[in-house]
Amino acid sequence: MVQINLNGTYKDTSLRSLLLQLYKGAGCERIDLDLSSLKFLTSSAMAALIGVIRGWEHDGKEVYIAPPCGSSCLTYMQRMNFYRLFDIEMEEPFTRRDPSSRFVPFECIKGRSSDLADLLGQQIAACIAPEEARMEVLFSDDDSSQTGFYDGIVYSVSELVKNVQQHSKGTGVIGAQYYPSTGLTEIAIADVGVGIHNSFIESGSPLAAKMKNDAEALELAIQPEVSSKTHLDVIGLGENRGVGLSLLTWLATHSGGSYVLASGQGFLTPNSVELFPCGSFPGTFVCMSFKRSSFAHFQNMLENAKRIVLGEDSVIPNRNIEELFL
Amino acid sequence: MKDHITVVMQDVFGISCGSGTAAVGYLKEFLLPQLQAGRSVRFDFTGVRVINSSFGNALFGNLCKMMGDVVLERVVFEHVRPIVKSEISSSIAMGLRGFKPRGEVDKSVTAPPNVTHSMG
Repeated sequence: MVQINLNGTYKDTSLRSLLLQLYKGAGCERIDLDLSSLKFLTSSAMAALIGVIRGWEHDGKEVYIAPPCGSSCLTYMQRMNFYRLFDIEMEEPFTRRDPSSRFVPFECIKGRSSDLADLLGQQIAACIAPEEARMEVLFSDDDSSQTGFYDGIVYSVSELVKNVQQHSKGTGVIGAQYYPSTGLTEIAIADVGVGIHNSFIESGSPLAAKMKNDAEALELAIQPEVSSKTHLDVIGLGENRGVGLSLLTWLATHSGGSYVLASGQGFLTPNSVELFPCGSFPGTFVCMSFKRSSFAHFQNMLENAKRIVLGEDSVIPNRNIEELFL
Repeated sequence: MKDHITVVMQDVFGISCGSGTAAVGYLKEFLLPQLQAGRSVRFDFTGVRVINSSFGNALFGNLCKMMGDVVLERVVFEHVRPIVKSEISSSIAMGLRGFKPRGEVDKSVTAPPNVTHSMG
């Protein structure tokens, strides 16, 4: 048995220490998770926590969770569906209502329904978009900055959910939160699938030979045109070109935000890559943050990302592609 | 027989197109046979807000990868939002990169009966 105490505040910049604490549960049959001294955790930290606990449960471990004593932290975790995801019944001393453009409670991603990525993308966009953006989407067909915000969120969430659906054999959770104090919108997703490195290995990808461990797999996964599925070219019809994570990580960092990826023993941020010596994430964790204000220019950012990340200038010889669009 | 068809994308895939699997299925079962039969295709994106990279690659990237730039003589896109246009353009570009000049349309890809689609 091991007792893990989480105290203080956890956010995207402290995910490393959070995971290292949680990884103490590796190899133990019973884990007592003491959250009584927890002051606050952001949506990204909560996603990481949910992912690790789901992994423990998946492995048949006994997990006991002592809830936070601080009412604001407890309430926030309840509002974000933390306890519901683990079928823990608790009295909720509040009325669930419209999150008012602030957050999207964690929801499960199950299976490969073709509509799921779209639906989740629209839900998250509708929730964390400013009110004026929602009105624009409903009543206007133009391409104003407000609809750009909405489309940018839908695009980003769709790319993330698609990755879970394609590469995870398990289920995932996704949630989002807007933080007015920093202007950042944070989208976090965690699954208990096979992880990125194993996804390359199990799919028989030739790229698997190029990576020695989980950290190298993460580094490769954000390179353009690298995916465990890109080699699956059944009658010439692959369905993934492995650019989603490349574009999103570029967009996150160039929008004033950031990203954190964890899979197995690997841990990746814009400034570091690390192989944890013990313990591992039971699947894949991705957290991306974007400056909300940057979504007004999402179209331009995406074009820049493609030019820089994918090198798409001058790739269509002898043709003006504009002529194809009426 | 009509020499061109219109595909109303929203009717087929919804307002945000995110399923590469659905796109591959549509390409194999409906689109390629139409193009192989010599028809032109007009893609009407009215109402479509977003397509993701998986979908774009699966539909337009694969189309160009299989047929090369000659297929661009027979497709046009209308009512396309900027973010969608960006994804279509990059999918086409990346598809053409993978095109092998000797490649004809893959004859093994044939349309099964009872294909559901939307034609204008």
